[in-house]
Amino acid sequence: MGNVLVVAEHVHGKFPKTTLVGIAAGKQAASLTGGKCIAAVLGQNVDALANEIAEYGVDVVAVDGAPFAHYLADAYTAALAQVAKAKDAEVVVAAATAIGKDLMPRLAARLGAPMASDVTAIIDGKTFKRLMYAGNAIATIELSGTPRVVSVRTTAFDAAPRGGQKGTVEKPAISADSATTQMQFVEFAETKSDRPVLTEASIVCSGGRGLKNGENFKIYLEPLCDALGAAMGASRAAVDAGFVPNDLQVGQTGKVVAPSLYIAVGISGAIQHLAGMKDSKVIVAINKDEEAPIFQISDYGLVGDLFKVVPELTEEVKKLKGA
Amino acid sequence: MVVLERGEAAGVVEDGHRFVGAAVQAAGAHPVVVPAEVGVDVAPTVKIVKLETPPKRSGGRKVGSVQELVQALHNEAKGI
Repeated sequence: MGNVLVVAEHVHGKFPKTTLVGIAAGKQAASLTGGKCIAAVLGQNVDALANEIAEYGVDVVAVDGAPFAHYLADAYTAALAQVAKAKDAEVVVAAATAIGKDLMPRLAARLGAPMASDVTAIIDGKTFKRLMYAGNAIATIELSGTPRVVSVRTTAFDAAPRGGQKGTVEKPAISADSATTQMQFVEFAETKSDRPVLTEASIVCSGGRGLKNGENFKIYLEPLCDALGAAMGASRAAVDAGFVPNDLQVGQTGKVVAPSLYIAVGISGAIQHLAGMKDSKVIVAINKDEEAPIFQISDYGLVGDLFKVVPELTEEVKKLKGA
Repeated sequence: MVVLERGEAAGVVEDGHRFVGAAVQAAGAHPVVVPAEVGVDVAPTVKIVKLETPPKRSGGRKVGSVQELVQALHNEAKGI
């Protein structure tokens, strides 16, 4: 019956939590279509990774070779299209990460398939719920035809647990010809941080334009993040103003997070920002403007000057943790 | 404002306003291509079954001080 193919993205030889979210969604879809859940691992020398993901109870197709050493949209699209056809995939799933958002629409076009992006719930093999209008509406949509391509919101499903019967691993010979590899990998420039990954952290502290400049992120927000063991995020306004790099951006066009605690500092709460964090369990807002829309969705609001409040908060947290 | 759908479909509009007049003329001269004639299937494959509003977040409360906030987070929300 209809198999489900999940694109298993990996970073630095590991599967991030977002990939396991994709696996969980894929397994759920497979249970509804009555087919198998198959993970596709693309890369170079991915034997260990392929075996690791098989531990999650899914069969694995490893596409191994130099053209796939780094993510390139064209080579990956071509390879995945072949795998999807070979495996008779009814649904192709990936987490809606930066790569997933780049890859899946291309794959859908290549396969001539309908696509649902940012899916938050799977009703059956062809009916999905997804957010529209910056999270202001939930649409239930039905895709017709086979295969169907789906990207899932990384906060909408729990990460798949390790376990179940270990799946099989196969390595089909898939080559990339020159027609499908017109892009070349040059360099991977990465912002290194010792803090938790934004999309995996249980606590996130984000700063907005209220912090006024990049220096203040270091002086005020970083100590708070470190005291809490939190990841640092930012609003689009802060990123656009050049205060912090854009991989910290939380919101509609940035990352979607749902930590157990989200602290918004100097963020007024534009709808596009809320779209990226309103599924957080507890939201705290610190803002000097008591009319700021962020207070309408926050569990705890503190009206005050962040340049006074944040250092105080950092000290209080340190005291509490030290106690 | 001139709508140039046909001119655009014919690939006439290249840049800026200088071409607008020419594009309008060219648009009239080119036949309109129907997707089916060039073998493109434009039948919708996605159907919206239902639209609903997401659950509203219940508004929280304002706290008066940092101490109150930390206590609330520690004791009520168990966030810290």
